[in-house]
Formats: sequence, structure tokens, C-alpha cells
Amino acid sequence: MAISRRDFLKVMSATGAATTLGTSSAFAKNSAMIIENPREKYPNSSFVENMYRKEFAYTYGRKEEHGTAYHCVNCQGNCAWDVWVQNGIVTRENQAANYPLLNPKIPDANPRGCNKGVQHSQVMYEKDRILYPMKRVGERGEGKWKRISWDEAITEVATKIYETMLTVGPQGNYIHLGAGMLTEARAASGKRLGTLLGAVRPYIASYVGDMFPGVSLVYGEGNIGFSYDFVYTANVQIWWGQDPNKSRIPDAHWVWEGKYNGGKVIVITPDYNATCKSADLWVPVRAGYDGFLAMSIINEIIQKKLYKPNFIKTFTDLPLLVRLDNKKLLRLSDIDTKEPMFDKEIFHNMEEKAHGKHFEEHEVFLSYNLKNGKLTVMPGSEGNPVKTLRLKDVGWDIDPALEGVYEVKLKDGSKVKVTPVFELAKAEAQKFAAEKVFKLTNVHPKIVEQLAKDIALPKVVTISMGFTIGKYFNGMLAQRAIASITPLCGRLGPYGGFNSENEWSISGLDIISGFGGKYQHRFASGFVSEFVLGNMMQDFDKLYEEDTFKQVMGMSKAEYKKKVEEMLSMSEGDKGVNKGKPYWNDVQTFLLFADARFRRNKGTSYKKAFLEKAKFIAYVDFRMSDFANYADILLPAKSHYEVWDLRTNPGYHRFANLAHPPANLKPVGEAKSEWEICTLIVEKLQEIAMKKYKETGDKKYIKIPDPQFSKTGYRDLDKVVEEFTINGKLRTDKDAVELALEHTEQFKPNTIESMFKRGGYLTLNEKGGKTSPLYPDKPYNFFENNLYLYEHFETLSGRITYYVDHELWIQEGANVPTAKEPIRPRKYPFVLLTPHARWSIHSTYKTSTILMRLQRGKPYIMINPEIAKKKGIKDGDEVRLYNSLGEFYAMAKVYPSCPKDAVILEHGWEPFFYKFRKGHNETVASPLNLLELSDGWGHLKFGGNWDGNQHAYETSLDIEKV
Amino acid sequence: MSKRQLAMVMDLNKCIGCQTCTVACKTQWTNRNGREYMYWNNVETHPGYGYPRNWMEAGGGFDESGNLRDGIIPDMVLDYGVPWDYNHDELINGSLFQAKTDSLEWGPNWDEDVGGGEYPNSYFFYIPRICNHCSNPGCLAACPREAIFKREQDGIVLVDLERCQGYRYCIAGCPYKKIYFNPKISKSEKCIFCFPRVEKGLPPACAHQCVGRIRFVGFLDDEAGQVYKLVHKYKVALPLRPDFGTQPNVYYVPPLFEPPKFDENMQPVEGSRRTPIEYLELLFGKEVHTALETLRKEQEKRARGEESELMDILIAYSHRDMFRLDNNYYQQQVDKKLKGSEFFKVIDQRYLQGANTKRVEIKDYTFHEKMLPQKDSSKAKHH
Repeated sequence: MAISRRDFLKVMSATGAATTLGTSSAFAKNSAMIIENPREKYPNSSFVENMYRKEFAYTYGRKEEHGTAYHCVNCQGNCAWDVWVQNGIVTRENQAANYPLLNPKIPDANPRGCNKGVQHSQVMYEKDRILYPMKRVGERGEGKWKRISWDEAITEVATKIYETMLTVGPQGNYIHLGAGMLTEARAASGKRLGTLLGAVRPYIASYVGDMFPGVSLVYGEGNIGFSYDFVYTANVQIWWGQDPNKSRIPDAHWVWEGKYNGGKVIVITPDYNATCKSADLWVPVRAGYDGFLAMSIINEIIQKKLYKPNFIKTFTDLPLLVRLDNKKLLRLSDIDTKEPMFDKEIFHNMEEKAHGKHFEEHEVFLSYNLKNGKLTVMPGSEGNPVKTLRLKDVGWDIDPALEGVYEVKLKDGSKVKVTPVFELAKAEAQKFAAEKVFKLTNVHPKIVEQLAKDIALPKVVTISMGFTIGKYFNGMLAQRAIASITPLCGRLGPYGGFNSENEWSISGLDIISGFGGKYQHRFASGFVSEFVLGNMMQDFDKLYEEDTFKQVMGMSKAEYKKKVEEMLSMSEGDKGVNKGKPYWNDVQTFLLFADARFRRNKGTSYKKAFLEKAKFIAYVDFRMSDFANYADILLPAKSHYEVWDLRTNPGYHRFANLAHPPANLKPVGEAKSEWEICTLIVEKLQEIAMKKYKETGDKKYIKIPDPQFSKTGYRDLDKVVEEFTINGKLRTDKDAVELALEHTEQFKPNTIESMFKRGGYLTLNEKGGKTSPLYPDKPYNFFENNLYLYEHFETLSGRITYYVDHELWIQEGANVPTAKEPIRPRKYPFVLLTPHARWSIHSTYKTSTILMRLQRGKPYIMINPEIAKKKGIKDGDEVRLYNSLGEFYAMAKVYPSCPKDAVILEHGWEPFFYKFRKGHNETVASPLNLLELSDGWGHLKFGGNWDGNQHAYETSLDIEKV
Repeated sequence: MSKRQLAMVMDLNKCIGCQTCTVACKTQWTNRNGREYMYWNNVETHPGYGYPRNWMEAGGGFDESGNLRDGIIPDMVLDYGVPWDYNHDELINGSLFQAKTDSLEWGPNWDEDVGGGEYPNSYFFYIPRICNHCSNPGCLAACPREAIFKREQDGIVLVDLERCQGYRYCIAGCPYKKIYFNPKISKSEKCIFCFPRVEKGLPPACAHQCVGRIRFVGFLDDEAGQVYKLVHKYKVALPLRPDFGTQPNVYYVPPLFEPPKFDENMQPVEGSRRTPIEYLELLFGKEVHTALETLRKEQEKRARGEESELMDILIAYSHRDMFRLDNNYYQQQVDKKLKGSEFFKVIDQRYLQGANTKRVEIKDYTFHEKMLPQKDSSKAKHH
């Protein structure tokens, strides 16, 4: 029953007036309030107004007491925040939003931030904060603790480290800052400590599976690309295996502003994700077949002649000649240079240009010069002192052939046929013609045709590749194939090209993290050291099917295992350094910071194996994570608003941010910064060692031999304090920030004060770019120096690399870009996709009450409605997911954008979220890929650019209602 | 009508569903004092149930002849969802991390990204929602106490908490269900457009902190402002559910961006729409057709390399230019009424443009901190 509005108002205001009259004394009014039209005017507005004004004033506090911060976690977003404080308690955070508009025609970077960063103030006072140093008194994981003093805790940690150095040697210690601690100043603390003591440190990007080895292969560097404002300028933006709307929240606005600016947005992912919803084209590639799609695009570009011949002749290895007898690149050391077919004149001119520098003949490569029909030395390679990539210069004019078969006379007089890499790459790509692979990729040939045109023809095109691609067992090959597409079309620098993740060149940080090369830590391969620590071969055995594995990999599981064991036996311990992927098997004492070890490692074997090996675990974190439970000593760390810190990389934008605690901040428990903790450990270590030395008079108690990793031959424990603290100059987090600012060229001219005043950031100066100038008013993209100045790439051939003639690569048919199928078991129908989450940074902030309330309150798995119906599963039901390796339980979310052959679970849930403490990684194995294990070919040498990945996406499972 | 109306435009094409706005609002206002379950700002996936669940079906607002429609008060458990807590304090005892409730059944973002359609032709988009600060508020009309009012100076709708008796007619009367009952104080509370921030020169938390840069804030009569231009000049920003009759002052640029559907052979169907246009019509009225058409044409113009003021506005080069808080106007109000009040001391100089306020033009943005006006413009006026 509806009454007319006028009547309603009449009745209601009459009632209102009556109430007011009847209870006037209760409201302390002298007379009834007369309200004529509250839409226009209201007599009693100030009561409620002042109430809210006061509330706001309370949260805001005083501007001069505010701090600045960003969140030192592994999203790497790096956003400047204004931290509000009242009476020494942080009330909330608001983006500083003060980054400059670099160019009035390109959107600025404000207000960088996200849904996670915006609530750290709530998490920092949550009840899971570790407040005091604690010692375990029950069994590991039992949850029985005793509060101890800082001195007791540090004594225990230092003693264990010392004893390990004496009994096992420096390699018995494992000092590591996990992925929850990735900033320049703060993370340098543990790195410095580990380096000083010669401890083992694994490579983070590798063990979390966020490496781009396939990209390193092609460009000589894995982390390359643009500052995100660059996509605004692109005619076509392709997001491959990436969901910027979810996983690059502070940067996503440039995608859509770019679309308003006339750009086309294409997303290539198996699921219709949050970025797809606004794209111009979504390409629904089948999970794990990205490499096949990339190869079919390469084929289309070659077949339709959309490539740029002059570009690829100059900048890629495609014109280099390959011997058809053994598939090896033809090297200067192979051939008879007296033969008339060899172009002596050009070689002579290059020798002259080399000014007497030696040609390493096995790293000098040849092409067939169409100008004179001769074999010609190509400039730019590792063994050629002439580094320019110019094909026409004073002394030479080379037009290398891309096609044809030629005959060459070798040193021993025999003749072999050779052909340019291009021919072999073309032939391999043909195997992946769009019609042929349609059934595997789910991508219609018409789309491949369109993609090839969209990549080749417009002025500026970017292909940005996400971390998901490397998460498949054969993902490295897919990364390589995807990274290989854009160079065919001449895309570098201002023309766009491939993007994984830009890194700025930041020099001078060694002052806080290192010792000028005097000492080295034991830098271990990430994926290998975790594999070995966790006994993960067992998981491989249990999960994978013999037939499938053999069909995909061309070898039996046993053959594979034998090969892995052979390779691993080469690279173990001090003697294994430079012989593959290094790892140390005798680690036993662990000092770990912010490292969700049992969350991120795959399989069912890891936890047990690790706990057996770890004789002592000291764990530093600000909150009680799942892993914290297994520590022997727990140390409370300060969190992001309580410390001084500095962060630049990676290069999504060009600003270095400053963490500057608010004034008069009240301490949270007895938390200390990582720098303070490391300084205390070093001081205690020296004290203990000196005591022992004084007692015994034996120098062995202060001189720990370490000939391989210390230039002095020893770890001198009587001097560690002065060395660690640079004679007292570097003891705290603030000291680290000041020193970093003082010594880093790219930060100049800046001080804490200038950064703070600006809103907690500085803009990198022109020296920040690695392979392009960093112009003050233009978005950044890689490789402009190569394109315009003909600088060589950091690869064996000095060129963008398509060909690898490492023996194992030839055996596996991976000498040219190719693709291989997933090895996931076929008997389970659903591939498990665990992409980066919208609601957490890996495990960080997963336990936030505010954020959990905006999800489902516990882990949930997304399944296609049709599958749900078939399995009798309703939205909200509890389901069990299982395979031959393990099982886990979660809530089902029925989700139309999920493909029918996959289930999706945003990753990052720690085991303690799940029933029986069985995390989803219980169903995931992460075998080592042999090609990623291979080492020692040209630029494929172990280091930051060449390690391998753990593989989160290489499993399949079945699902049932509980 | 209030003298002036402060309004917001949200561009749904740029909304990425990150909910930074939701959380910014929560820490600013609703993480305490009986407001915990409230989301003065929420973001919901459409098509979907929304928050509170099925709010579009819960009545309130006005019918065609201007009569208030019946409405219901949503259920705490089934519609709002009880905000669950966790056992953080037990983790140190080796406990699993668990919600302190047996039933996780519904929450403010329960159907996140679900939307409609079937793979591979599914679809969804986000709608962030705050109080619409309507010109004809349903809550105000429904309040038997006449305790709800529009601020004279900017049309922000507030509940007079001194006079509110907690009858909750307002909740039934608001067709957007954007007014909430605070069980702790037994009164109704709602989004206040962050007026205490605005008065001091800081945009509302949800808008200022929106990382998708989808929100414009300004006075509707400020013809030089983006809000005016999007709403009145280009008519691409539309109120949500105009049929509810409350005349909202929050406007949306409707979703234009989406990829084509696939046919049975997995070929994209050119020119196809995923989101049914009828659904957009339901949300934004018939005007959605012309709005989308205008957007499409201007986008094409831009793609051809031509100038487009509309695209320039939506791109929003400078974050600070998205907000025109016209602080001189507030200062004039202060001068009239509350001279010298601490509440009106400007704490941020950056967002002060508007019909009554001139901002110093910042030419060299690289060093803008040096170029900001050093003094309050109000102070200058006193001299």
C-alpha cells in the first residue's frame, strides 16, 4: 500500500513534531525545532557536522607528525604513502599522491597504491603481531613458547651461527631474507650479514618461480621492459599471462587511459580475468599452451613476411650460420680462413679496429655476405673485440643472408653444409602453423592472423608477459618463444617490444649490502637448493605419469631422474661453484627473515625434509605466519611504518620511495628493525668468539678459513663488528638509508629531508636507465641504445638470440625457439591455476580481517558452472581437491569465467588456512627442468639472469564435494 | 534544493575492481563504533546481487507519481553479511587460522567477478557505490523525525545524530540501501561524502585514493569542471537507477569497453556485445545508448589522432585536476558563520580549484612542491 508522497510527508512530520514536543527535555532544546524543508536548510546541522569533523581531525592528527612509507613486500608496486598518526599510534594511511606530472600529455603516477597497502595500519596492530623474542619450549609447530629477553635471544642465535662456523664451516649457515623483504635498504641488512659470514643465500626470484630465464636467453637479461606509463603511448598493448587489473593495481590506469588514447588492448589468458573484461580482444589460450600460440604467431609473421629483414640482420642472430652436420653454430675456430670463400678483407679490417685485442675464435660467428658471396665475421659477439652491431661501417659492408644452404670448408679440410639460423627457426615454426595447433591452443587461426598483424604493423606495440608463463614445467620455452616475437618486427626502444619487468640501474648500494668484493656469500640457485633441501624428487615420482612424461619429454622418468642427479652432483658445495647450479647440502643453521617457506615450496615432502635438516631455525617477522610456528627462536621485527627504508626497483615507475616513521611513534612490543637485529648478532658473535679466543689463545676460534669466498682467506671474527658497521657508521636502518642516498649516483641530489618534504620520494636522475636514456619527460623502454647506437646485447652472439647450440638443447630440439606440452597428469581433468591474488601479496595480508571480509573468509576455488553441476557442487560447498600426490580442502565458488579444464585458486594461502594444515601445494610437484638446469653456454651462466623456476602450474587434479 | 551541489562522477571503464576505495573508506570511517558491517563505499560486480544482497529489489525511492515506495530493511546475516573475525591471537599457540564463525555464507563481495554468461562468453563489470547524496533523497523523505537533511552549502546528505531515533524508515526508504543502522548507538549512519576532508581541502577518501583514477569530484554548477562537462555537456555520465526517482548526484560513465564474444568455432564475432544492453538500460536508463555512442565516437576520433576534450577529461592527465573542491567557497561560508573554526584550516593545497577559487597554474610539474601557493588564498583575501 503506497500513500502519496505529500501525505506521507505530512503524516511523518506530524509524528516527528509530536515526538519532539513530547520529549523536548530529553533533547535539551528550549523549544521544538521547526524544519521547513531539510533539502534546503536545516537548523541543527552543526551537531553531527562537528562530530564527524572531530573524528576526521583525530584520524588525521598533525601533518607535521605524519610519516611516509611504502610496503616492503613482494608486490614490488612501491607506492608513496602518507602515514597518519595520533598520540604515537598510526591511525590510517593515505596515498601521498604527490608524484610529478612528467609530461602534460601523459597521465601521472598518482595516487599509486592498492587495497592491501591501504590497510597496513590495521594489520600493524593486529593480534598476530610478534611482540617479544620467544624461545620454543614444546615440539616444533606445537605452539609452546617462552618469552625471553633480546639479549638471551641474540646470544642463542649468535652462538648457533658461531658453532656452525666452527664445526661445519661458513657454508653451514643459511642467512636469508625472503620475498617479504625486498627493498634496497632494509633487505641489505641480512645480505650484508650473510656476506660477511660467508653464509648460503638462495636466489629468491628462482625459488618463487618469478624468473624469466627464457627472456634472459633471448636478450641477455631477464628483467627488461618499460616503465608502465609507456603503455599509454602504445597503439597495441598485449598482456600475455598477466592480469594488470588484479596484479598491477597501481599501474593499471595507464592501460585504460591508453585505450581512451586510441590504443588497442589484447589479453591472452586461459581465464576471462579482470583485465579481459575491458579489453578489445581476449585470446582464450588453453592453460600451458602459450608456447604453442607464440610459435604459431612467429610462423604467421614469417610466412606472411611481416618481419623486418634489415632489422633482424643487424640485431639478431638469425643470419648466423649453423652447421647442418651437428647443428652447432659455425665458429671462426671451425673454418679454414685461408679458403677464398672466407672474407679476409673484412676480418682484417675488424682486426685493425680491434687494436690488437684478441679474437676468441670459438665465440666469433659467421654469416654469408650477399654483397660478395663470402663467409664474413659478424661483429658484436662475445669473442669479437669489435662490439658494434653495425653491419656497414668503415672497413665492412655486410648484407648477411637469411636464407639458403651453403658449403663451407672446415679446418680439417672436410666440407659441411651450413644455413642461417633463420632457416632453421622458420622450419621449426612451421610445425606450429595456426591450423595445426588450433586443437591444442584453443586459439582460432583467424585470431593468430590478427595477432600477427597487430604485432607487426602499428607504430608502437608492447607484449607484456606475466609471471604465470614461467610457472609451467616447459614455461621457460614459452617465455623464450613469446620474447622472440617482437624482435622479428623490429621492436625496441620507442617502438615498444617485449616487457617482463623493467629494472633500473642503481649503483652504489654495495656500500650497505657488500664489502667491495672482499667477501662473498654463497649464492645458491633458488629452485635447485629448495629441491634438494625438500627432497622434492619424491613428489615428481608420485605425481607424474610415465606415458605422458615420455611422450612430452622424449625420455622415461628414470632417464630424466638420472640426468638430474648427474647434473646436480656436479654443482654441489664449494667445489661445484661454476659447474652448474650451485647449492650447499650441509646447511643446518637457518636465520630467516619474512620467508613463508612452507607456503611457497611445492609438494608434500618439503616440510618434513626441511625440518629434519634444519638443526636450528631463527625466524624474524612482524607477524605470526604459518612458518613462524616452526622456529626455535622467534624475533619480532618492525613493520613497514616503524622502519627507515628506501626502495626503487623494479622499474614500474621512476621513483625511489622513502620509509620515514611518523614522529613520536609508540613502539609495538619490543620489535626491532632488521638492521638493528643484524648489528646485535654481529656484536654478540664477536664477543663470543673473542671470549673463546681469550680463553684458549687459539686463533682458530676467531679465524674461520674460507679461501674460496673471502679474499683474506678467512672470516675474521675479531673484526666483524667494525666491518659490519663500517666502524660504527652503519648500525641502524636509518644509517642504511643515509648511506644509500649518499652513495647512489641515480638518487642525487637528495637527502632524507628533501625526500620527506616532497612526500616521501625522489625521482631518479637520467642515469637510471640501463639500456636507454631515462628522459625526464618520456616513459622509459629498454634497448634504445642498442637500436640507435648499435650497442651489442649481453649475449654470446651480442645479438638478440634465437639459437642455442648447447649439446643438451640440441638433443632436446630446443636449439631454435620451440614449444613443449605440459607434463601434468592426464588422468586428472583439471589443471590447477594459482595466479597472483587481488587480495594479498602472496601470503602477506592474507590474514587481514578487513581484506578477508571482502573475499569468502577462507580459501576458495573457482570452478566452471557446468563442471560444478556435473559434480553436484553448489557455490559455497566445501570441496576436496586431490591427485596422486596429495589433497586439500576449500570452498567452491562457481565462476563462469573459469575454463572447463581448469580450477583457479588465487595463490598465497598459507598452510594454516586449510583443514589439516594441508595447503594447496600438497598437490603440486615442481620438477627441475633440464634446460633450466643446463649451464655454462655463453650467457647462460648461473646468476641473477640464469637460474630456473619452481613450477606452480604443473599439476592437475580432480574435485569432489565433501 | 541546496544552494550548490557537490557531485561525483565514476568512470566504470577505468574501474579495475580493486576496492582500494572500499578499504580507504573503511579505515577513514567504518572500522569502529558499530559501523564495522557497513560499507559506506562498496564495489560490486555486475550483473550480480550487489551489497546489500539484492538491494535493487529491496524497495524505497519514489514511484512515477512521486510517492515513496515501500521498502525493506535488509537482513544482517543474509543480505549484509555478518563481518566475521579471526583467531589471530591463537596463532602463537600453533592454531589454524580460522574465522570465529561456523557459517561463512555471505559478504559484501561474495560474488566478486561472477557476473553473467558462459565461458568463453562470460562478462562482468564493477560498480562502486557510495551514498548518492540525492537531490530528492528517499531516506530524507522517509524519516519520521525529519532528522535527515541536505547541507545548504553543498547538498551533502547527513543524518542529524542528535535527533535520529533509530526508527530505520530511512533504510527502507533509500532505494540504494546506502544508509545503515548503527546497532551500537541505535541511530542511522551513512556516507558523508567525507565533508570534513572536503572542507579542509582533501577530496573524499574513496575518490582521492582511487588508484584506477575513475572518480571526479566537483560542484555541478562549476562549468569549467569535469563533473559538469561529463554530466551536462557531453551527457556521458548517468545516474544509477534513475527510475528510483531520487535524483542522485553520483554519476557513472557506463561500461563501453569489452571484448567480442566467440562463436562455436572460437572465432570472435565482430561487433558483438557480451553485456546485454538491456541490463545497462536497467541500470542507467535509456540515456545509456547515447552516452555509449558519444563515448565510442570520441574514442574513434582520438584513435584517428584527432583532438577530443572528452577523452582528455576521461584520461585525466593530472590526478590533482580530477578534484575541484572550491575551497574559497567554503572559506566564505566559514567567514559568514564560524569565523576562525579549526575545522576549516586547509590541510592540502592541491585540490582547491573551482568556480570561486583560482589555483596558481603549475607550469613545471617536476618541481611542483616549490610552485604551490605558499599561503591560503583565504588569507590573502583578508588583507
